[in-house]
Amino acid sequence: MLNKESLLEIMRELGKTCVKELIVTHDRVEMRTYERGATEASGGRNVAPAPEIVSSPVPETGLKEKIKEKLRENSVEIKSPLPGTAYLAPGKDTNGKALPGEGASVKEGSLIALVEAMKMFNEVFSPVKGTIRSIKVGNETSVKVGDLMMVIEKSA
Amino acid sequence: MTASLVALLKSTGLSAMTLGNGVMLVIACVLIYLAIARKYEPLLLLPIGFGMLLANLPLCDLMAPPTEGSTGGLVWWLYQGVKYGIFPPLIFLGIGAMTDFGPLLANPKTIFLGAAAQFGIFATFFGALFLGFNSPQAASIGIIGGADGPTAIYLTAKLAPELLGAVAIAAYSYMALVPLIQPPIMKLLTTRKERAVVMEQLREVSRMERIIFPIISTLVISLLVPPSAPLIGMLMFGNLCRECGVVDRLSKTAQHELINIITIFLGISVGATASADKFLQAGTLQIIFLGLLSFCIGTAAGVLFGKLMCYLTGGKVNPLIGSAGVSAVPMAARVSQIVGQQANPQNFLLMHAMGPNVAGVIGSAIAAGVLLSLYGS
Repeated sequence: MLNKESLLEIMRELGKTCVKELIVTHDRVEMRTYERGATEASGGRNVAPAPEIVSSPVPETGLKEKIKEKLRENSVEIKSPLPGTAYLAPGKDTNGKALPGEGASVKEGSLIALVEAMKMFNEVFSPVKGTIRSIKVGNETSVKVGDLMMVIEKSA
Repeated sequence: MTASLVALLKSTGLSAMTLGNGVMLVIACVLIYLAIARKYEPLLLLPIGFGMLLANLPLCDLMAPPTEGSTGGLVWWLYQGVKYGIFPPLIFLGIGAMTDFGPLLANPKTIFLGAAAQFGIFATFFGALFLGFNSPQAASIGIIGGADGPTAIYLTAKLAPELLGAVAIAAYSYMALVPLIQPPIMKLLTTRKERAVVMEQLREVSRMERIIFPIISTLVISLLVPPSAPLIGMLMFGNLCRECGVVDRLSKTAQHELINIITIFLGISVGATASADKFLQAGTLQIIFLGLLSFCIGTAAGVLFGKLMCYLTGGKVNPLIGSAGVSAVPMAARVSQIVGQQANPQNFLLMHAMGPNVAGVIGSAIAAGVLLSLYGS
């Protein structure tokens, strides 16, 4: 996920901010930030380069946003097509069919969820080939049209 | 000794059994089988089948009217609720309390689809006249195509009570067969592209609209077609109880206990009208055939009108929701959903089809009112 180029880019971006230290753990970015000049700021001397990046969360979320954005390009949000009760429990057998859970790989057109309305189990099929990254609503909770149910990461 | 044995034998039902009774008992068992094993509208076909069984037991006289010295059979008394048109409107009360008119209110033009699908009723009416039924009988047969059990029973009990058993059985059997009857017609009349049309999301309907709708529609429809008032009035009152939010207890009773109790009475007494002398006639086969025809024409008319709306809106309406205009709530809407999803797995028509579907209930009640005002005594 993190290659040399992207690391360098992150470092360049960091240089523009007041983040002093970044700890990266293996595959996942685990960021710990220490604000440059925080002690000075508390001492009453404002040395921060720009007002909008005075506090530490700003650069942190800025980076997280960047990472999220990268993921977003690849991910497909599955929204509820109709109001009803959503069935998404991983591995649970509902209506005689097993539903894939988080981390399961799905093909285009494979069954990923059921939404029960009018005593009918409406099948929701995956529009893409990929991996289920996260399931956003609990099993057997009621959903409205357009409620985010799960996110699928597209695979090439 | 022998003489007394013969006398005992004569007092049993077996000796009084006619061939007709026997055939009816077999038909009753077939209906019970279809209800239990095949789950064909079990809530209605089971009581109807058992009512039929009871009515055809010789010497039991469950359907006997009271005479000098006898109080009349149990089922005969239950039947008075059908005869005087009490049970079907009470069923409608429960249906109203169970029905969400939201999809219709969100997309009011779907009411035309609910109206178009009633075309089968009138087409079959002329077909039945042609086959030699009189006008009230033809009207009762046509109403099968409205795919609405209580409406069909209400109209037939008033216009042609002698056909009640056959009409009710045809109506409920075809309703159970909606998932088999409709898809071939729907696919024949539409292109794959039309079936794949994804419809815009329905808008939210406000509480105010939901409360005003049953009141206004009762006023308008009852003033225009007075004989529809018992059905529409009860349907809309049930719906008002549901939507107003202040009489939850009434709404719950209407959609559970009350409708269940009435369904038992209605089913048994309607089944019991199918006695051998009335049911075992060539006419019954014609009714069953005409009922099917009525269903098919209604479905086709709905889909064709849906195509017209698809054309007029520039492809925003999926014609498949038209077939849901034959009432049969919610089976017909489910069929639209299934056929639509076959053409496009990302297509969800269920809620869109509920619009014409609930409009169809209103439509067939109005059609029944029109037929009553034309042929009612």
